[in-house]
Amino acid sequence: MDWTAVEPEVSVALTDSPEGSLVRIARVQTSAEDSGRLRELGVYEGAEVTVLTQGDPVVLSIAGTRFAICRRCACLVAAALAC
Amino acid sequence: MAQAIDAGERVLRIAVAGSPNAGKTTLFNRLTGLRHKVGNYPGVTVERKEGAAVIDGEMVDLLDLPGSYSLSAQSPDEEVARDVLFGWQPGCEPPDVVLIVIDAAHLERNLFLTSQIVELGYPTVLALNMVDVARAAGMVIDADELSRRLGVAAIPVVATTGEGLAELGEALLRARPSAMRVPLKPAVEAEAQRLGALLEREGVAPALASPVALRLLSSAEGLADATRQYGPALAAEVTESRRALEARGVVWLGCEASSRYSWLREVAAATVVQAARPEGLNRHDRIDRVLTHRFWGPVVFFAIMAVVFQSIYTWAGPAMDAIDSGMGAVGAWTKTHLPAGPLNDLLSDGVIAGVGGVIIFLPQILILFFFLAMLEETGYMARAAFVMDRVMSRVGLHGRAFVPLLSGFACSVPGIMAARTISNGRDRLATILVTPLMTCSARLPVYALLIGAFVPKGRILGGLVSQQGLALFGLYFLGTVMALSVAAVLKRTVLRGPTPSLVLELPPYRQPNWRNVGRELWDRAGLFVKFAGTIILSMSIVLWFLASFPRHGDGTASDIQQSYLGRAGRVVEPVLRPLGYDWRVGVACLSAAAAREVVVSTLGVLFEVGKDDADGQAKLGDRLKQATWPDGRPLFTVATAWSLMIFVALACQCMTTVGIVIQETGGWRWAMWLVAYTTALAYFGALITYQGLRLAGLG
Repeated sequence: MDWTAVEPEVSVALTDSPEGSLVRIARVQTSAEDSGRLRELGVYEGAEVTVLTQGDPVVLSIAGTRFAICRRCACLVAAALAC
Repeated sequence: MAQAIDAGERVLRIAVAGSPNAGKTTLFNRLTGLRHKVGNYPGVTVERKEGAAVIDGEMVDLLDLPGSYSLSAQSPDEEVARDVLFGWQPGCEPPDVVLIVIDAAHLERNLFLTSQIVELGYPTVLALNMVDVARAAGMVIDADELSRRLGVAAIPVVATTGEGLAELGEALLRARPSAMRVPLKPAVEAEAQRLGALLEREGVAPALASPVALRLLSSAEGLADATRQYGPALAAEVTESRRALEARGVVWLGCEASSRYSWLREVAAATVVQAARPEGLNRHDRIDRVLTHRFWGPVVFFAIMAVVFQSIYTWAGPAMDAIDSGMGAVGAWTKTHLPAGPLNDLLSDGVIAGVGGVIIFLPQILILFFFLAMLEETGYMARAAFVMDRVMSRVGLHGRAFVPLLSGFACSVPGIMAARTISNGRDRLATILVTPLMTCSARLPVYALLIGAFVPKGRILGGLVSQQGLALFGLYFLGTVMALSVAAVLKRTVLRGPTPSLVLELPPYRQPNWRNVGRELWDRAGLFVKFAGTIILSMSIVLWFLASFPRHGDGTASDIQQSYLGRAGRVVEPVLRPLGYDWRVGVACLSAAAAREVVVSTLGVLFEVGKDDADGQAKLGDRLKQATWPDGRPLFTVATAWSLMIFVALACQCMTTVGIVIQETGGWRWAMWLVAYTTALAYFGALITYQGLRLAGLG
């Protein structure tokens, strides 16, 4: 999906964010059920998370806790590099 | 609530809440010791754990709530935690005090649920658990500052060693409600207040009104919850409030999460004086890379499973022999010391032989539960879920379905109950319907008996793999493959729907907590012995009666062929003959409709193991080998043995499982469906096996 078309800042899918990068979540476009859970766990628009490892699952560090998100869900979450 | 504490008239009731992996169970076990009981919440089958503890000489009741990440519950387990705290849970009064268990090393994440609970206005205490882990990671946490910000006592503890528990106990007795509220957007705040006032008129406690209103307002299921708990009029008000927010440009869905997160980040920043080193790749991540690797992940997973099943078979041997000879001695003693007659027969041949034949498998069941508890405790279970998710998602199941299915290796009943963590209804149903195909421990006695008797003891592949172990692994593998295949068919036909996503916390790898493992084994052993002492005992008595009556005119026991049981077996024999079974095996299959362990005890009764007292109990396996058809051909060939094992592998011969499916799916329909498809699968599976092996010359 081409996220640049919908986002003014340059955001890419979580699955395309480099390992070790700190990113800011731009969009959570998963099903309502999945995004409800993701928001509670700390993956909400504006949250900063670190992408630890790429693969299946994608492993994120959210507030010091490691969460694994299966790849087909992570590719529906868009994030921009946070500096 | 506060008066109840001062009055001291009744026992103080403390609810223990917290997120998964915060060490809630460890702390609960520490506080209650062995004084606890496991039951169910009425109406739902979420496990309800309660225990008693003595704090400062005062007796208190502890209720262990299911672990949850937030109060906007997304699964039946989380719903129970929320319902108890909201006073929605039937038959469960709201607690007097709430104890929130927090993982100190992950303070920020745990504060989400914590702040939601603190706002409910219960007298609350925080247990800052695992402060040792936090210290080791270089973190310094200002518990006093946290306590000041939240308005409740925050006590650093280490549940595994007991550090800080005395202080925690004191704080629980002195607990007071907090006035802390997380600041919300003014528009949201105003609507929550308005709805809260309406809720108070519905009889909701003033302290709870505003938090409940906020949950109804901002969660996706809020409208449905409002209708169910307070009626359509209130639901209309919720809709009204949502419209008002939309008109002001405020997104109501999830409006709670963003406010709460910005607040709790500030609290975390103020209380964690020295944060752990920033997030780089650590040792655990490097292990994870291997354990969730596309190729090595499954390799490690199957290697671990192979070790587990090999161990079940080899380690249990000595303990089983000991139980066997113990039961034999008891049977022989009964036989000789009681006057001969029906009572003697009932006790020695019915009760002791029947129950003994099932109790003997306790060691194997304990070993299996030991490994399951170990996998959970060490943190490997979450990784395995992702390894399995790749397979699961291919058949259309949720990766979480792996936990019910793996539990199904122990027993379908807790397995089916564990399906409650799957929030999607269709996926939950598919998981429930295939879990009974997973090889539960109750099948193990049958496999153990037949493999022991009919699979050679030798080793293959240069002595690395025992043939018996391989046969057992093969049967487990068959059950798993069938479960996945049926799930794939279901998800493509009657339960068609999108494949849900797997999102799980990866807990750090840690040493298993032996106390928790021991406690789990103790509970499971208790349940199994109770099962043997009730269901198996009554089945054994009924079977003994059916097998030894009607009596002859002179009062002596009738020949088993003429008994009620023998007659029933003869009626079904023609149907089962193509599977290689005579009437006795048929009777064993029939009687196993209640519980499949009974296959072994029925065979024990039918092949008269209990009656052999001259040189101790002869092994049932040897009896089976000696059994013949009326024309003298051996009854149990390799083909018959495998045919019976396949039948047992695929049939859902368990009344308890059918019962739990009725309960969990809310009716008979799916349970009947389950029985019908598994019986068909078992019959044709056994038919193909028997006829195929006969053609191969093994009949």
